[in-house]
Amino acid sequence: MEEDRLLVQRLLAGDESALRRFFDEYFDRLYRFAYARLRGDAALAEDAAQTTLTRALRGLAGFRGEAGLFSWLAQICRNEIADLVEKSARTNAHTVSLDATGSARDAAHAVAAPEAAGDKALAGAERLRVIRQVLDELPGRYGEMLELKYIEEWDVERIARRVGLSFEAAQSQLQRARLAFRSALEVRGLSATDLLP
Amino acid sequence: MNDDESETAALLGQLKIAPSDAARARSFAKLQQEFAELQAPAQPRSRARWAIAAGVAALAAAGVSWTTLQPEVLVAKVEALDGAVEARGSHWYSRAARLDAGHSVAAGDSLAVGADAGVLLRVSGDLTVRLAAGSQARVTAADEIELIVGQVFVDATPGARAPLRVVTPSGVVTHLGTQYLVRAAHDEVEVAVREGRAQLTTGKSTTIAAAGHWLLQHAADPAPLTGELTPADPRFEWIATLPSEFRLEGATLAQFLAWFQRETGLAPVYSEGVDAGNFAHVQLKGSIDDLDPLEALSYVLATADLAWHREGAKVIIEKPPAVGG
Repeated sequence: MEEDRLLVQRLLAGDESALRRFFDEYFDRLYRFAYARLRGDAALAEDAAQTTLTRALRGLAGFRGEAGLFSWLAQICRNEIADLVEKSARTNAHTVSLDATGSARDAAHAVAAPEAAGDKALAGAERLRVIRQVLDELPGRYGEMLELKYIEEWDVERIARRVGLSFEAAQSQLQRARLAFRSALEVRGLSATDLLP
Repeated sequence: MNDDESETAALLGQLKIAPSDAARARSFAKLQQEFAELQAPAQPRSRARWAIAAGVAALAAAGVSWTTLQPEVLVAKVEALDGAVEARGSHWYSRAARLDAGHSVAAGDSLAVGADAGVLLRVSGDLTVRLAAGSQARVTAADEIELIVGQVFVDATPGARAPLRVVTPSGVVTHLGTQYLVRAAHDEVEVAVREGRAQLTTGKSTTIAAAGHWLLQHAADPAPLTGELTPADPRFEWIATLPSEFRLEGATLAQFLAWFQRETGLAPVYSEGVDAGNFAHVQLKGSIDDLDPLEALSYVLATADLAWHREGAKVIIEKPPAVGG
């Protein structure tokens, strides 16, 4: 939290090195955050992450620091994703009507991506979306802690500092978070094997 | 890793997706453009836009990793270290690595000092920075350090041009010379000046502390509290555990005592009956590596057949008591 406040203070003061740090720290995380929600569309995920950082920069003075900086960015990113999904849905509706009679396009698809491979890719994207959703719906800071540990690959000591816990308490919370994650999958009738490639 | 943990790692590991370097380059360039416009709202924008757009195009066309193009700027060297201190670079791919004496610290490195550790960084011949146990800091440049939590002790040679800003969450400390300590906690910052003066700037006020004084600014207070340091102030006790390097071989006793005074804040004084002029020019031999300054003083004075005792903020140098007398 202190790190977040300090970073925001420096950005507001116009410190360019802080801008690079802001980008390094959050762009990839936001990209991943958006990627799973946008069913693996890399271009849209890039757009969402980039627009989120730009919007955050404009509204930085409004960051109060009650929640972590990433939580604040994630909220902005959710709104961006909602906008992108809506725009994409409008475009797709239009595209489908053209594709309905686009035999040339069907043929091109058949050459570029065999049907089986296409299905598998879609299943992969859906898998990521489900895992992301389960993670987001975990109570308290479980989702964030699991994300930091297994996606961002932070060590427990760094996670403990980030969430303001002792090392032992963070370890114990991570253990509970793993159990909560597994339970949340079971509630959906899913097991780990359903979600592994 | 147990089964439960392996399973979670395997599931969540699927979300470890990284954008391409080109995507990073494009996005950072756009963010820089936005930042530049926010910083200079009054300036004509069209030229700046063209210049930045050209930069964006060049970066995107190059399609190379912008991060790897950033040269590392080395800003300090680890001169002394006690315990576990970790450094982590500023790049997204940087990992924490344990520091050792002689290692370099680059601009942007974040440092985490272990609970029983400490480190002395030499920024230049005229500037050292010590970090106390439990500190977390980021060395942003040769003249700036972010202290997130913990304590730093800054030592700049009097009269030398060795600027440094210590940025804490509660305020910024700059020195007007030359030895001071900054402690940052969640919602307060404290400055204790051993020599020279230091300036604390917060969102509420700017205050200068002179040698022998401390300032404490708490978030809830409108202005900092101030007070005087005692001759043997416990705030500085940890400093002596991380002495800066001193090459004893060939140095004079006067040079050694000057180093000793900077390290400890204790003023050496010759007692009556000791020929100060004569002893000051005594040439020293040997090494004081691995000795703290007080141990070094005992060692050095013994070679000149002298002894010492402490009186408040002074060490009195005297002839040793006669044996059996």
